[in-house]
Amino acid sequence: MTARNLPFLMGRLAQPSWAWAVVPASAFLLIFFVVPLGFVLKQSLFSPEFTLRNYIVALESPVYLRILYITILIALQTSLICLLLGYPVAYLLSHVKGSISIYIVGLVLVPFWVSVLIRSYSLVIILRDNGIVNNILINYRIIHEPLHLVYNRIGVIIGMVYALLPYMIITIFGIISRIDGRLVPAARSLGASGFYAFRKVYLPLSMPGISAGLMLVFVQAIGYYVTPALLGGARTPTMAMVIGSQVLESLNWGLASALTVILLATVVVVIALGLKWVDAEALGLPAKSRRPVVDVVQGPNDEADNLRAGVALPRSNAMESAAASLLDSGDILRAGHRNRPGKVYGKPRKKMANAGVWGVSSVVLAFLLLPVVIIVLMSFDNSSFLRFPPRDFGLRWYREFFYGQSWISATLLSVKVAITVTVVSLVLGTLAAIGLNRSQFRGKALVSILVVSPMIVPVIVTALSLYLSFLKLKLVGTFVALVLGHTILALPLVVLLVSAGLRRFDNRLEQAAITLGASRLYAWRRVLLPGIAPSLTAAGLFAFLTSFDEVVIAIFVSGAFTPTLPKQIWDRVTLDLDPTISAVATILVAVAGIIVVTAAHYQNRVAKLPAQTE
Amino acid sequence: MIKNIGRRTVLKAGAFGLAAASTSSMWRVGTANAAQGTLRIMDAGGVWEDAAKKAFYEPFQAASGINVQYASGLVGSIAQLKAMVDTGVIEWDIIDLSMPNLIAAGEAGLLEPIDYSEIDTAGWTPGSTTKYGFGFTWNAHLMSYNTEKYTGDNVPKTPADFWDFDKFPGKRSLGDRPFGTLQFALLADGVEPEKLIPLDFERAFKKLDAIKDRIQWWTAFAQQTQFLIDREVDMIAGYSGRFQSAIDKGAPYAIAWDKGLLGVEGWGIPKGSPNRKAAQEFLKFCARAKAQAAFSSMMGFGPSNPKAFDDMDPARARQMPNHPDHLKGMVIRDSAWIGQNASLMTDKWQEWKLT
Repeated sequence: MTARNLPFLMGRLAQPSWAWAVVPASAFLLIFFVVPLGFVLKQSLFSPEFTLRNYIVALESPVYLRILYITILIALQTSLICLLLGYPVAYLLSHVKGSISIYIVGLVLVPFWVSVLIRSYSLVIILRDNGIVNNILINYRIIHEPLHLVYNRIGVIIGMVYALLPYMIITIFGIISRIDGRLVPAARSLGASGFYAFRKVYLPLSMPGISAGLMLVFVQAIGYYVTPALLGGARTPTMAMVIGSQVLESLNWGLASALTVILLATVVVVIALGLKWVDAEALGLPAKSRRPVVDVVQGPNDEADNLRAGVALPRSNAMESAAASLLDSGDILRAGHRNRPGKVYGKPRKKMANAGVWGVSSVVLAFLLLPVVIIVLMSFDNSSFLRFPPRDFGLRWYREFFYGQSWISATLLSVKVAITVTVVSLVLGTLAAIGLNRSQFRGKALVSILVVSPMIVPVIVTALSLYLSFLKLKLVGTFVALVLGHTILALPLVVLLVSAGLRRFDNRLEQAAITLGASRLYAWRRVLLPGIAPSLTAAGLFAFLTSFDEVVIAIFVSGAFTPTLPKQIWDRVTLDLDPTISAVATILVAVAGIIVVTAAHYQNRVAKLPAQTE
Repeated sequence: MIKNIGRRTVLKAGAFGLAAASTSSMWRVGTANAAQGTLRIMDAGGVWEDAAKKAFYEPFQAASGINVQYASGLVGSIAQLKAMVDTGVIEWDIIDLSMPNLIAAGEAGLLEPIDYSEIDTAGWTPGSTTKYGFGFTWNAHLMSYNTEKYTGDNVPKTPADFWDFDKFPGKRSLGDRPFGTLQFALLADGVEPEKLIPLDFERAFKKLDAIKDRIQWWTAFAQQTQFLIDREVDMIAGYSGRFQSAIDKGAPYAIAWDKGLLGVEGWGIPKGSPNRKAAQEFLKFCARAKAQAAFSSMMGFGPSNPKAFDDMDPARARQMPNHPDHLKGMVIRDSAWIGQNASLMTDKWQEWKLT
């Protein structure tokens, strides 16, 4: 290299501002999420002239505050149980080698492939008074009277834990897989007992994963709709159900909007309070200081102000830290990416997970798998209704699936929508993640809130607001409408997951590539993207599954028309559960199984590559 | 989903990929820019839709030459109706709702009044038709019981028996909805059918309090059928059509018809529908005894036109809630009062559940 080249090289190395990268995702969400939502939330204050009536009704009635309390309580209980069950599995996952971890991840993700309706029904078969659990307990004379495990709050919590456990496991795994395996042996060599070393060394280091996991599970549990309805019976009303009934049945959109605003505000406050507590426990972790402290743009015409007004909170650090920490959520699904770049962590861990961890994890994995096994068995029953155990084996419902044209076309449409959503949300979300991670700019905290907000707003409200806007734009019933609606839901997950990957990516690698003459684009393609590939894979998978399993937005924005697979399933269960849905679930699980096996195979090959470079 | 009779390829058009879509019109996989003369129907979906297709849609299209498209959207169809009328973009010409909902939607300005000048409704089950709602399918809220659990003469017959745990031990299920359950409780408490309305909330809740903790509640409609198929409960109050569907599939249950609460469901025409004329033609077709008989033969819902009973298998006809054999012991629901007080009922119900 000659001196003549130096200024040129300096110019290429200088980090450009990446703030622009958040623009596409922000603009997308402002146009297709915030503005339509604003039209609906406006109804809580204007009918047509300004009034606080809806808020007064919501806050004065003993009903809504109590339901809000129950909802938050259930979400907290769900989050804590997910943590207790999920931590051992995540621990195990970070201590097993090679393709075994891919198979475990495959098991963990199994619930995502099965429609929530049939999954809930399968849980009922396990939990009801004459169900599998009670039959076993009574047969072995452990109990005499059946335990009431479903159609009450216990049933709701079991159902929600089932659905949300994967998020907890994978989030925690992303963090603890980075813990230096030599630290615990070091503590022990200094005289600490195994438990003491875990408590004082390992646990504190996994706190970021724990808080991120709690957050992800809590936020989603707040908005759950179908599970409480099917597993809770009348005894467990939740805010999402109440808001849903105001939107769908009472047509009282003003009150529904007021309740949504109150729910949003409460969630943000609870998250902020929870963070303070978790951080205090986090024994000197620099989590807080990692969060950028950014001024919030002040301006009367700022769209962001609308958002803030919508949340009905004064500008507060609480919201900023809540949003920032949501973005801080852990590194997700480095499934099987056992070989970390560099040699920071040195030798592979020798100490295998102990028997206790294996025991708990096996029970948890069996819990995740059992409902799916039941569904698969039921799908091979020729009976005209779902029943367990199956008695008349046959392929009737598979014939129904393959010969009934509507099932195939619905499946194809769902796949096409989901693939498009995956591509769009990966592009928008990766750019946004790069912008948020690599630059400081005014309004960054607001952008953080913006990109995660679709996770917090009850999906029924999002669906209604999209429907109203798409009607005006003549988009109802189009492919575009479905893609837009699902991208809104998938984008937060992508930003969260890719951000996690970027934080671990060593920027100097990219700079080194440029120093060696690579163009910025080439460096991205050959260095950055491969470096964050595991996160991109996870983000893509979650984006795909989010769209593929989504029903509420599909019901609304497809207007009368588009039969996505979940909507088709929903249609077929209005009268009673059509057994075809068990065949559909089995086929999807089989496809997922093939993907997992292929990935494990591929992983075994890829795993060798870093070894060669070392 | 929408299906276009005789033009199933539309479905395929719905499943095309991103690359193929270059013009905005190609992006439209739906049918919303319906040509004049195409009737767009929003129904309850599933098996209900299968029956409606065979009984009404296909014969009507063949007879009238009017193209019929139909879609299901049980969840949110009233909310969508309101959104359509609010924005002035009307995507459906016919919507399927319960009569209280039809009345409430009509009075909220969401439906067109129906022109009965060419429809003969003489002799129909009382309450079948109203200004905004054309009811053609009757359901009853009543009780069903396990015939293996309760045998011989010792079978529950009236709502009061539902509360009698001494005489009829066993598991009970009620709907987590105020609309049928409150009146069921009042009937059990001895309120005369003609004095049910206006509802005495206090009395109904007091009656329910007595058994509240021993009830397994159904929330989704499909759960009623499923509870019977799985034999999860011994006695259940809910909708006759749902029970009949389970009984048809071999579940060992019987229906107790006495003091059943009859309600009707049917069509409304969204305000501003561009195809009102075709919609009226369709209603005229749905009034025919033969069409209603075909529908009721497939679904356990009774026809509003009693002549339809003559076109049905007599045994099947007697399974209908408004069959003359049952009608005299039944109570016809006051759809207008319920339609006007639906929000009040829901609010009070929520409040009670939390106490």
